[in-house]
Amino acid sequence: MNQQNVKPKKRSGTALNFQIPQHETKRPKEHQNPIGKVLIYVALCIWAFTTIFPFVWVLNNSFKDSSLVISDSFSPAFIERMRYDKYGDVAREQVLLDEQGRLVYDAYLMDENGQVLMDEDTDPPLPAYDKVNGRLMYDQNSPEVVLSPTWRNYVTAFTNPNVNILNGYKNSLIISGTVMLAVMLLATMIAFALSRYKFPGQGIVRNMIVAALMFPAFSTIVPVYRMVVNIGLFDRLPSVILVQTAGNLAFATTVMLGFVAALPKELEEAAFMEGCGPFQVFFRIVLPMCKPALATVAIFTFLWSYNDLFVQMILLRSKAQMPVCAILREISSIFGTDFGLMAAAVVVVVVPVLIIYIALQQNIIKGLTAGAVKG
Amino acid sequence: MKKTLALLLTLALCLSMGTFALADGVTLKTVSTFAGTDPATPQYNAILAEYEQESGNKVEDASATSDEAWKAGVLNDFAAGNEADIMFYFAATADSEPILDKVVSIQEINEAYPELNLTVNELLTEADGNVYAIPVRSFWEGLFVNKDLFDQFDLELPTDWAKLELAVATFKENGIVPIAVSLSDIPHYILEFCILSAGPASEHQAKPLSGEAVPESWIKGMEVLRKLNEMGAFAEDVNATTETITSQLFRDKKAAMQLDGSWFANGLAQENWDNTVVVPFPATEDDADPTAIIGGTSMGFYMTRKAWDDPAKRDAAVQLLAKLTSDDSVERMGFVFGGELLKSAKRMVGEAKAMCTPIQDMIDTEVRNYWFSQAPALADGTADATEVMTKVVNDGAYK
Amino acid sequence: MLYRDRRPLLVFLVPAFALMLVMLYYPFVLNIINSMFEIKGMAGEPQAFIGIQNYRDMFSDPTMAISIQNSLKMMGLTVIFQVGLALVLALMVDSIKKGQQFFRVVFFFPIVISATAIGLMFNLFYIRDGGMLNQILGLFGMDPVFWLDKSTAFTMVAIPVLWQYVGFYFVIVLTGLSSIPEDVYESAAIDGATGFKKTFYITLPLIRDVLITCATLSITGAIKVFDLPAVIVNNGKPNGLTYFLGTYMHNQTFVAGNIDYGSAIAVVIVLLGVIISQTVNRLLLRVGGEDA
Repeated sequence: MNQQNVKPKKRSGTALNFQIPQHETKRPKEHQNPIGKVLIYVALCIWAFTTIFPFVWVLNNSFKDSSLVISDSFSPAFIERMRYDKYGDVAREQVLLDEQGRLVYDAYLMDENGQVLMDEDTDPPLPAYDKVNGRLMYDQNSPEVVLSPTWRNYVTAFTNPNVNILNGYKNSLIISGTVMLAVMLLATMIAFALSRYKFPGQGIVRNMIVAALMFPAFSTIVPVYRMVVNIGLFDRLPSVILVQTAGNLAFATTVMLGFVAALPKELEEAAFMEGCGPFQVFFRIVLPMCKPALATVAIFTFLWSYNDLFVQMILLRSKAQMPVCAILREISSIFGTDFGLMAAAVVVVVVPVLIIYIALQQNIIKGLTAGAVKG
Repeated sequence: MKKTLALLLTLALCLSMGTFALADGVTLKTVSTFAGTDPATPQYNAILAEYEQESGNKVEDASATSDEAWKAGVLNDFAAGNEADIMFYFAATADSEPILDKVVSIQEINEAYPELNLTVNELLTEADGNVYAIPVRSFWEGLFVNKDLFDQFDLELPTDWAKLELAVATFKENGIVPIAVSLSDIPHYILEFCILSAGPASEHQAKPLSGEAVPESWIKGMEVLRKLNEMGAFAEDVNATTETITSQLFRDKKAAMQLDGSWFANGLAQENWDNTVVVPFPATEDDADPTAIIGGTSMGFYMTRKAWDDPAKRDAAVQLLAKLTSDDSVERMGFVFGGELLKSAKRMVGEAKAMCTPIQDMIDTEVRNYWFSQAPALADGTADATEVMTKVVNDGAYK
Repeated sequence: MLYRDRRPLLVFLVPAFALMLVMLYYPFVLNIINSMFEIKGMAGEPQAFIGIQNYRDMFSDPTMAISIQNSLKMMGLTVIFQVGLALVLALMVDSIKKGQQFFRVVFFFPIVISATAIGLMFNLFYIRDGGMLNQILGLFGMDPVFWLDKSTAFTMVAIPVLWQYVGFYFVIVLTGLSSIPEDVYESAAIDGATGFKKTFYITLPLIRDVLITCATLSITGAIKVFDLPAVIVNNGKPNGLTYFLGTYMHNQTFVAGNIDYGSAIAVVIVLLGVIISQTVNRLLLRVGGEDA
């Protein structure tokens, strides 16, 4: 697919252009003074920081025990362990780096919340590690609890009997995958029908599609719920698929309309001359040419379907049917105070979409240009 | 792009094939509140799994933490004909009224299956004289107290209002949350106890119809809530925190007291059984009964008419109902705690001269939603107690 | 010739349109009807006809007033901050050489992540004891702050809502910017337009349509806001002050079981969305002059 359709007047981007004898380059223009430029980069980096940092923070804390998240959520998930000694006290070891970057082994007796226990007579912290003799002061045979870094949060998230995340992935993939494909096909079909055929009521259909953009899920959910129940689809994945497909069609069709209408018709006519019917024209010529716009539709439909908690929450009830987002909500209601686990659960939900996004991100911009802006 | 699509498509196809695989035997749908932090959840799930093993049938469980949304969901499913086959739900309350014609009375089941001899618990008798649910546990609510914190500050247990006031002041000074509660999340317990503390138990149970006078203690009780807030009994974020967090504060000994039900006792770690006790919430008015508590039997297992009328499911469902309510199951799902906590609970329940059904279980959902939504405003004084409670009564709390 | 035979429309148009009819328009109309009948419980049968009683009740419902206020505020904020910030960021990214691609990818991050996850994340930031923000304050020796206080709660919900979608409009505006033909700048440069002058007199008018699209999208998006408030400030806490139309509709419908009133709120959501986005659309068009 050539890019001409997408960005008809793509500028040379970052290349300097000296064609016109001007004392300044026309692009990237006048902000050649270094201070302005630095300021721009600083501003952009600040915003980039706000969009990246939260995820790094969550990722980092997902490897820590909850008590560490509360006491210090910023330090990297470095080695920290704890042991219960024979007196029921807790010994916690911290392995830190000193100023020279060497590993320092520091162990104190602490209570479970990370409060260092003090020697009642002399006041300094009770060491759990006798530096002189190189001996641990607590019972080395007691079970060790690694506070950080630990996979424990992930293990709990994946193995707890209350919710099944893997099953959630499966449900999400079935729902959002089907919705995505259905919307791509149906939206292109409508766009094709509206831009190529003339039929009575065409204007009405077109306006109805634009109007549907204004229907939030709230305004249809109660009747939809009843309908889904009546046809026996309640708490079954197809219910969400049908509702989300219909809900995403308006946006997708708007994007596709702008794009399909702008496609050159010569190819189609040529194909017709060679004996192709409208279906062959659609599937062999139009559909392949729509790729950039379809990519946008695909990404947005998938994202919105995957992240749409409202419809999932209302049309699905049993845990076996829940997609990932609903599972995440479930986890937060059960383990709300285990911050380490919550962080891990967020990571678990976010990672798949992040991967898909990074894999397909170039198409977003191409497709948006093609559709949303024009349409 | 094409490859990714193809891949996704294949994946989706493969996975959907898996979901449509058929199971042997019948599939029973169950719904209950044994989920989330409910301590009986593992046992409940184990019992269901055992049943699957023994019978070869499948159980699809849709349990969730008991809250308003859960309740509404169950009712909605009923109205839509999408109810579960066996369910654990409220009985002999306003919540059970709309479903009675869609569930089967225990007497009817016993007639058809005399060998089972299921328990007919009269506490759960509905207005029509029938019993539809089999309880597996009864409940009580009270003021949970971290006794070790009281000992640490040389405080007496909050058995009367003066002691409670002193305790609140002392804890507040020392950076400990006196009473752990989230008014935006679960104001359920404190609202009931405030009313109970402000007048006789009979007034709590008055059930005023629309237009009738609002019981005095209902209004005074809401003022008690404000008084508590003014005393500094709650954390700063009482109107915007979550119940999960406040309960954790209590368990972590960062909060001294918490009003909650018997299920909360179950969630306490064994090492706290001896330093946690439960007492009735102290009375603020002379005519209030200082021993009165909230409690009763409000939930039980039901067999739905839909399952009963389905010849393919009937035997299987009856079998599951019998299993869930067997003595063995009752013991396993029942309350498991001990130590001082158990002793104090027994004392509290034994000495209680009045055991009141919660008002909120008896009133209309819309009205209850309004009442709860006003709890934060009642506490910080932005809503007027008389106005709110008059609206509760006049909006048809009781029909 | 190719498209003279209309029979293929049966395949191209009818299935998709039928799906929309059944799953969107029909329930939409039914919802309006529902709002005029007394209905209790999600699947309760419509009982007495009550006409516009629900709509009248809204005027005496303080929570409804709060919800409308919050939703309107949110609309204003999205136009100013989401579209505004997106425009500024896009102009900046458009003016640099290195790292365009990087910023485009990174700014879009929050959009791909579910609002549920973002909401839980912000919960971890806001928690009073041990939340991230209070830990930062602690590093500077300051006392912990209760972030969801009555006076600050709205701001605290608005921040993630606004932040999440800046990248979306950024990408659209940036695309608009990069489709401005080169020669426009050339002639502008000849006329001596540089710097801010150029931005104001050349660039902005040229991407006016894009900005209007963004404003409309952000307004309709703002009125639908649900997930983030539902996760961060459930039950409109504190004191029901942070209810938005979407979350209040959810509360009335699914928690209180007041179906008819919930349906009426949903109708109001649509009406407000249409009216305001159309008004803004017209206004902006006029401001920019009809021909630009």
